[in-house]
Amino acid sequence: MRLIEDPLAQLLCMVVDDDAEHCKHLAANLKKVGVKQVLSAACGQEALGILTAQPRPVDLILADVQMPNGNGLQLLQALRVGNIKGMRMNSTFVLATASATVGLIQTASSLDANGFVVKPVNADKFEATILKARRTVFPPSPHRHAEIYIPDEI
Amino acid sequence: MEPINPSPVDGGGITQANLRGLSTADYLKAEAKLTVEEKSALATGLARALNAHSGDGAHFTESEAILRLLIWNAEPRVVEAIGNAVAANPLAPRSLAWALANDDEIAALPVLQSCAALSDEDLVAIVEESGNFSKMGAIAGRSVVSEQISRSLVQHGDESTMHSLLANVKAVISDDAFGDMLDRFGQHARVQEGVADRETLSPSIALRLAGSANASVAAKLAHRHQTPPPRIVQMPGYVDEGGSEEELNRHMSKLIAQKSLSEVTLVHHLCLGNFDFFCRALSALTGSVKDDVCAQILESPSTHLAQYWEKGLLPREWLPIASAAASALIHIDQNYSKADRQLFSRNIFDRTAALLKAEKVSISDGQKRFFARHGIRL
Repeated sequence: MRLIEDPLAQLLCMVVDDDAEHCKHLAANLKKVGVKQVLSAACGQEALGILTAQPRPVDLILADVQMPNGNGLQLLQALRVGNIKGMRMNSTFVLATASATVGLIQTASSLDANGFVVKPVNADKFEATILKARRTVFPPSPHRHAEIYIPDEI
Repeated sequence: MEPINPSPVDGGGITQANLRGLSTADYLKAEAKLTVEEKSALATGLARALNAHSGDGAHFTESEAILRLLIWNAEPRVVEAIGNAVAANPLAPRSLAWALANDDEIAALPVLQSCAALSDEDLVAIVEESGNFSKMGAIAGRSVVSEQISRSLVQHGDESTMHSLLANVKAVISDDAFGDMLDRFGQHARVQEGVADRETLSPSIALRLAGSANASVAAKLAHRHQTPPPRIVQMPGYVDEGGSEEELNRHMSKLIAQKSLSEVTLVHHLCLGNFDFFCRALSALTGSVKDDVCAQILESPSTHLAQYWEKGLLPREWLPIASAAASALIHIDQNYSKADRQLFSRNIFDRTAALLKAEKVSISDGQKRFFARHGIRL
């Protein structure tokens, strides 16, 4: 039971994953740590549409890396260069992947990802990762982020 | 590379001896078995050995990636250990320094204070966006603090940040930044002391501080920076200038030669209530007799100020502001107490803003910024 005010309870989060099961699993993890409102999308393109149409900005995006129609890094870059209307460029963005390669880690770091989760998600550490991602706020640097090349297929 | 043999005894098979050649995949395989102490030792070993300029690209990128994963996901003690190791390594890469600098204070502060990989632009971005005074204090204590960083710290820091900056003998602080610092914190005795203790101060800043400093700071200024001894001269308006007429005129000529007498300085002094400084500056700029300038402006600010302003080749767009500030000073001087200097100046600022609004004067962005620095929105 959560007796003190839950810092995650008020958040509006979004999960983006092309695998419906993974998407549900990530959303369930978020709910388990106290998040009450979770939106979902199956790819970067769909996420863009939902984020732009939201009356209130989403506080945290948790996205898979490899997806067709806009992968997680492309979605992160769109956010960081200010291409998502209504969202702050330095909003919290956590990447989730099953294959953490050096190149992927470097690109995620260059795009100032606030968190990086290796799947399968360790439920015990998930809350700490999300809380830390929320605390780590990078100053916006859209010009630097626009210079990073991200291929469609990672 | 040989596969590692996970074992709970020696941290999943990772030891200090086999860090070289450790891959991200190896680390992820062993991660769950590592204790906090083992992760800290691993992270410290990798971070100490990092060399952004070494020829061994593969080892460097693997180490960098493992450390980045740890910064994202490891326990605070581990990230703190990375912060200390990166801060102490002059060859650490910017990517890790940047990630740590934006992390929790415990990891960020050593990096912000010591890491050479962070550029001036990085540091200014953190000062402007973080709103974190502890981080600003760490930046103020760096072995190199450029003019650009100092200016940003002065604009965004708190009083404690000013102490750290002033105590740093290597910090380069421009006259503009000193001016802003005195605008924001000039009433704080410790800031006054800190400014007076600086090795070098321009005459304009020393004189400005002398005008508002307490006796001990004024004495220190006179000793260290050869400002005239403090003296109060009764003049129309609120006046707190020191020194003989000759000394003050000589000082004014110096300010003109240094191109320090801008329209902003003049308006600023009016709003502070320094009518004597304002008239003396205008008389020096126009080659007129100071007492005439004072008398005519007091008689009719709107008529006579315009003539002097034009003669002094000052920008026309600041004339309405100077005129409003002069009228405000005269009104406040005649109707309100001057006992509290800060309140007196606040009243002049507020009255100036009210006059500008009433007259619907068009205000540029630069002018808005000037007033915003004094808490007034136009």
